[in-house]
Amino acid sequence: MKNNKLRVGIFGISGCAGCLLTFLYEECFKEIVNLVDIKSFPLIKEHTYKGDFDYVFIEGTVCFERDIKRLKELRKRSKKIVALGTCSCFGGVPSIKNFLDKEKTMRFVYPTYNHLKAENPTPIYKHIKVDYYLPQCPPSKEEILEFVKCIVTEKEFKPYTDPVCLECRKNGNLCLLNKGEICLGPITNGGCNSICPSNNVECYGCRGPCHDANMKAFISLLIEKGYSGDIIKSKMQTFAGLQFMEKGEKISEWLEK
Amino acid sequence: MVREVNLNHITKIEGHADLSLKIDKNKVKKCELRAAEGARFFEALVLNKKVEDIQEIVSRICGICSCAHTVASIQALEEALNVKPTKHQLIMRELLMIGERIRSHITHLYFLSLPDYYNAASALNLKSEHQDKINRAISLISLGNRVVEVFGGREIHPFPTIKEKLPNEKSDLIMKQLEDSKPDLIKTIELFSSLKYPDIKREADYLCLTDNDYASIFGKIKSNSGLIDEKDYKKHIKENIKEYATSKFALKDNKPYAVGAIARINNNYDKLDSETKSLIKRLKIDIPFKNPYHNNIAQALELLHLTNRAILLIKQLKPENPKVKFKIKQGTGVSAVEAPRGTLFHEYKINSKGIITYCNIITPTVQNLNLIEQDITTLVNHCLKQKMGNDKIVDNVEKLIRAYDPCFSCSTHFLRVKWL
Repeated sequence: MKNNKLRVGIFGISGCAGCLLTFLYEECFKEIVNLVDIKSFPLIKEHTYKGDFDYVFIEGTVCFERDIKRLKELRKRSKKIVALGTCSCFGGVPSIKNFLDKEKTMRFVYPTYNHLKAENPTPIYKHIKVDYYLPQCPPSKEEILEFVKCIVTEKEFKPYTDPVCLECRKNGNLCLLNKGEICLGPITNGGCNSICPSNNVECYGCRGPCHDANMKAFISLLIEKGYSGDIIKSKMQTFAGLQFMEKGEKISEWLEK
Repeated sequence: MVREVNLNHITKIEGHADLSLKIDKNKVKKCELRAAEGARFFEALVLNKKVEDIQEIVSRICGICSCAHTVASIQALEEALNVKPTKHQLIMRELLMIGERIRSHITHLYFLSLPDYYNAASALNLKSEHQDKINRAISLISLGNRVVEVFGGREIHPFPTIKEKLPNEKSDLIMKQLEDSKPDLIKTIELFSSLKYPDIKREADYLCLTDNDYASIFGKIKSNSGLIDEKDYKKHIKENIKEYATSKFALKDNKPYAVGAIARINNNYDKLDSETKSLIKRLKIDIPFKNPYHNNIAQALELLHLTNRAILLIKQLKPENPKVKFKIKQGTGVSAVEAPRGTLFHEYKINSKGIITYCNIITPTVQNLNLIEQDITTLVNHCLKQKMGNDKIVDNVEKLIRAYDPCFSCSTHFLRVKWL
């Protein structure tokens, strides 16, 4: 009966399970269950399926040895891999650790830590080939559903590529930069319908840097407004720090001026 | 004869965990519950960050109880800064936590736990005669989500209430939806109190907040040690490391203890509303609970009480536009709140520039782990005495772990079982 449906797996590595839950919540779940054949979903299902997948969604950040092993196994078993959520796409909040003194960080939380077999927190593309990205923290139900509909109907899925500012202006919000917040809206990929600024919270960049973001101009603007380099960097390092720092290769240089 | 039982990747729990048992001469000699989540070092990630940025970070500890982490962090930081929340803000926070409690418990009860009792691999595999139960679960989860969305701005990782915004007309609609959900909540209690649970009884120390009400966002810490001030949590609760796991384990006054719905019902029974109490009577539910599997019943029960409470709270909401102005100052703050899985502690130190210099977080699952291990040992010994087969033992152990509703994301699914 289900033979024609795509075989889907929904897995998590080290993470908060928020993305997995987004799948489970409400009508979105009912629709997805009808559209595809969920072969594996360890959060809610016994782990008995040993076959291959057409699509595997992965939540979470690589934080220790075992995550890498899990990823490699899933890559072997699936035709396509979808990075689900900001952790999986960009490293997310756990990736803040990359910008800290690692020994000190680990010692602060665990007096002994060798048994943790900790790895530098990294997005999954650093370890396996990724075919699709669905960022945002938490991801949007609408986008997940749209993506699933695309793969089922073999339509091309087009990621959103304009900055958050565009949607934010359409939503008629007052600019938070002008209100004195470090809002990363101008340099961050939208597609979130500016949910944070619409709730009066500045953008922390969870959908990652825009392809054509003018980082230099943005940083100059913030420095002009009187923010220190450390504060600007700290903001950028909250969700997608690895990407923002790569994108602004000369970030330190700009900040020193 | 020595044999080992290894349960790798326990499913239908939140996060990843393995269990390893060593049995010698028909007695459990070793029981190790290993969180298999990579450590994410949250308490260190907030160091040197600005006070305003903390909630965005710590809510990401857990997607299931992000509201609890949000509220605990905000309240601890407020205390450090000597900011007094308004009554309106406190109501909003409690509503946020109730919405989260509804969807978290319902997800656990119907999607993680129920399949165990119908011999199904998952809720998706339940026979069609149970479809009404799954529909009920989805509509209750949806209700919980709506509550969180209305009062927190979005379903998961809500927005900081330090920068409070007003709820809107939506709160009237939510109140009606809460009212309408009560038959479903009562059916949930009837269902989970009628399941056949493995019959084990044991004494345990239960810990939760208590207040004039069935406490959610503040109160004294109640347990066998009497009432403890939340500020003094560290004098009694100590975390330790076990080399086999990435999570920590907590003891209170050097002993295992339980937190969560079962602790709240046991300790705060007299604070429940009359409707919930009369249902307890009608269904002949024995309280205090002594069987850890009955955490399922406790979860179902408290949802009815909390839904009635939410309706009352919404009626008390008065439109106000609290502009919280706070002055940065040096300070320390502790907050304890009741997350879905039990008491959650957040503590911060802030320097005179508004930068975090210290953070300590103790999550509910960390506090339950020692008792879960102890209960598994008791259970398996009991099963061995009854000469129960391996499969049945594993089945009971899995059910027990799930009944606790552990969350290994916070602390840090079919089992591949190896019998040696």
